[in-house]
Amino acid sequence: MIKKILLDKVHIECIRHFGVYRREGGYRSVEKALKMTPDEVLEEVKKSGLRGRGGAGFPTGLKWSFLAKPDGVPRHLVCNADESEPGTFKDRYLMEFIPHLLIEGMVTSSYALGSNVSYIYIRGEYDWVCDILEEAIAEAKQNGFVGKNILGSGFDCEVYMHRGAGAYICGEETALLESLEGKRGLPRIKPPFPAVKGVWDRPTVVNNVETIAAVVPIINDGGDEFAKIGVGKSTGTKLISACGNLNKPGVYEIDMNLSVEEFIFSDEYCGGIPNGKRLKACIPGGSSVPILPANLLLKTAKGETRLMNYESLSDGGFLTGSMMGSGGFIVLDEDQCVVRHTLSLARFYHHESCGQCSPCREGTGWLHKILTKLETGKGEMSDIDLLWDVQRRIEGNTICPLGDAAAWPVAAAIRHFRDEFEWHVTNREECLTRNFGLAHYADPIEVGV
Amino acid sequence: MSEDQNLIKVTIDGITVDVPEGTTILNAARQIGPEVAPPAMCYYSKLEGSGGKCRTCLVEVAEGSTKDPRPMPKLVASCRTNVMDEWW
Repeated sequence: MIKKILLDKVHIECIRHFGVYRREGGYRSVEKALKMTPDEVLEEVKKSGLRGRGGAGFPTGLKWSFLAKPDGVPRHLVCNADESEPGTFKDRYLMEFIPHLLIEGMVTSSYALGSNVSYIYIRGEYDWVCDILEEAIAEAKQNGFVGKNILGSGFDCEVYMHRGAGAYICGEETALLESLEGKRGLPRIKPPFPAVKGVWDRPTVVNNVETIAAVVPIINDGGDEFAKIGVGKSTGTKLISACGNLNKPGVYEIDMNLSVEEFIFSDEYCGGIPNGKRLKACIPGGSSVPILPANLLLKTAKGETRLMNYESLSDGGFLTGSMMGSGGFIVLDEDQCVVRHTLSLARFYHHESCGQCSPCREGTGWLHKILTKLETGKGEMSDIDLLWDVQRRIEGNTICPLGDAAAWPVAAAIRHFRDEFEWHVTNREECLTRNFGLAHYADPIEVGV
Repeated sequence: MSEDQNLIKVTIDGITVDVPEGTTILNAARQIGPEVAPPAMCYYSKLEGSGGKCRTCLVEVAEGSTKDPRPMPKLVASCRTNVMDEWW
C-alpha cells in the first residue's frame, strides 16, 4: 500500500467542509508559504520535480519560472478544471470530494506567482461540482484564507469560479483564456505564450487541478520529500481514472513505480477483467493518446516491464509506446472492436474541432466519414491507406494539439490493429451482425524489437 | 547576424535576403520571388490579424535564433511568424 498524499483524507466524513478539513491539518501549506518568500515557494516546487498533470507533463516549476513579471501589470493563475477528455475523471473526483485541497493549492500557488486574482475554469457539465467549490471558497473566505490580507500577511488573493459552456477545445490553455475573456473558445497562435501574454494580455499561468493540488503536499513536507516518491523524472503520485472492462473502475492514486500489469490485475487496484475475459488493448492516458495492444502494454518493446509513469509509457515512441496523458486509463477486453472504438473517438474529435484551421476541421471530418464507412461494412482496402494518409496530414500542422489528439488514436489503431480493419473490409456482412472485432490480439504474442 | 540595426539576413531555400526587423517569413520569401514564396490563402496583408488559420503557408524553420529557444526544426505558419522571433 503506497502512501497517499492527495487523497489521504478523502474518506473522512464531511471533509468537504472547512471545519473538518482545517481540523485534519488543512491550510497548513498556506500558513507555511506565507512565512516564506514567493521565490522560496517556487524553489520548493522546482525541487519537487512536479510535472504538469494535464497531459503534456511539462515541469511545473519551469513553467512558473517562465512567467514574465513586468512592473505594474497584474499576473494571474488560472486553474484548468475543464476536464473534457473522454475517459478522464480524476479532477472531478478530487474537486467533488476534497474541494478545499484545490482552494488551498490555489492560494499557495497564487502567492508563489504573485497573482491577486485567480480563476478556476470549470467545465459547464460539472455544475454540481462548481456549486461545491463555490461553497468551499465562501467558507475559506469567511475564515480568512481567501480574500484580502490573508492571515495578516498583506497578501490578497481572490479566487473566482468560471463555468465553461461544454466545449472540449476550451481545455486547451489559450482557448481556455479566450473563453475566460468571454470570447469564442478558439486557440490562439503561439507565440506569444500565456506566460507572457495570457488572459487580458497579462502574464498567466494555466495549471491542471491535480498539479495545483499537488503543490499542497510539496509545501507541507518539502520538495525533496515529494521527489522521493515515484521513479526518475516522474515524481510524486498520480491520480488515474480507470474505466472500461474492469472489475473495479474508479479513481486510484498510484505511485508511479507501479507496473501496468499490477494496476490492472491486482485486487488493490482495478481487480482484473470481468467474466474471465482477456485483455486486448488499452488506452493508457485518456482518449487522445495512442492505443496499445496487450502485448505492448504490459512489456515494452525491449522486454522490460512497463510502469505507470511518463517515461515508461512513452518508451518506444509512438511505434511501440504511448503516453501518460491525463491519466484516463481505458481498458478493452477481447470482445471489443477497435474499429468501432476508433470511430467513436473520431466522431468526438470531429464534433469538437473548433473549425479554426483547415487540417483539423477538414481532416477530422474525413476520419469520421471513412471510419463510418469501414464500420458499416462499406469499406474498401484503399480506405485504410486513405485513413493513414489523412491522419498524417493533420498531425503537427495545426495551431493547437487537438489535431494531434485526433490523429494519434487513428494512427495507432491502424499501426497495431491493421488486421481488424482488413477484417471489416473482407467480412462486410459479419461486421454488421457481430458487434465485436478479432479476439486474437488478446493471445500472448512474442514481442520482437 | 544583422549588419544594420534594422536589417536581418535570412536564408530561404538557399537564397539570402536582407529584410527589416518584424517582417514575416512569408513577406521575406515574397521579396525573393514567387518560386520561393509559399502559397497563402487566409492571409491578407491589409487586414490586421488575418492569417495563421488555413495552414497552407506552413514552412519548416531549420535553425532557430538565440532569441527563440524553441527546438527546431519546426513547422510554423509563415504568415504569422516574424523572421528571428523575439517572442517567447
